[in-house]
Amino acid sequence: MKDSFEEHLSKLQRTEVPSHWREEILTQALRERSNSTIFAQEAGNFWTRFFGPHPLAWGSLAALWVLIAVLNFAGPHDAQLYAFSGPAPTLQELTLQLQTTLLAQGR
Amino acid sequence: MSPSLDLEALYEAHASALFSFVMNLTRSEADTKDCLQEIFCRIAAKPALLERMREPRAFLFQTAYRIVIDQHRRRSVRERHGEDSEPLFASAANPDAENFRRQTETALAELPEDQRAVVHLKLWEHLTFEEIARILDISANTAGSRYRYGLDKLRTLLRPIYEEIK
Repeated sequence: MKDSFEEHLSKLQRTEVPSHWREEILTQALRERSNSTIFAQEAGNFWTRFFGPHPLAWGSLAALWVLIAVLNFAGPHDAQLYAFSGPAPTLQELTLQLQTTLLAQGR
Repeated sequence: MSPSLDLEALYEAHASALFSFVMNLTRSEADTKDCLQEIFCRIAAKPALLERMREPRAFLFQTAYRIVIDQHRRRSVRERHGEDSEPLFASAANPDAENFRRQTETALAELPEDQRAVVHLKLWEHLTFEEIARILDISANTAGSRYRYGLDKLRTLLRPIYEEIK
């Protein structure tokens, strides 16, 4: 609910946009629009030119990458490759036995 | 790219309100023009920005406010204060009304920018505090308190002339 002071203020008439701005602003905006359309088209054209002439070659390369990725995921993982196994525990056991013997001999 | 966006219709519908809002914040015709130009160029380049919006005018005010804030950040305080103040409201034939107009412009210039933005959107765009809050990215309570602080200051500054013409 506005009081009389607010009502009085809100009755002030705002100035209008200078009329010559309309053409200048819209011309610049339309130029911007066509520039961005041209850019989008050129970007599209670039990829068409890049991939277009040899679709079979690019398709094969993509398939090869997919195959490499599949093999990579299907094979043993790093953790499995480097998992501790075999002789190392034996070596530890021997070291422990030696230390125990030395201690028992009081050295 | 959407060919459906009619920039001319958009300009007709919103340029006047945007002009008034930005002029109130910048007090410079040159900065206001730069701001309007940037808004329309952004929309022309990416119409999807506007097409997703339910309230195009709110989105335009929000964009305008952000551009003005950026403009001010890029400039030093000295540069901003050195600008000539341009008229915000249309001249009145009645000398008392004309005096009130001039003093209102001077009083508005004394408000901090964030209060001025809220006061403008409330008084001259007749938006609710919720709508203003969405535009300025603040809470509705903050919008309300900024409005009250701003209005109290205007009331104090304009009391003598307002009492005279009331």
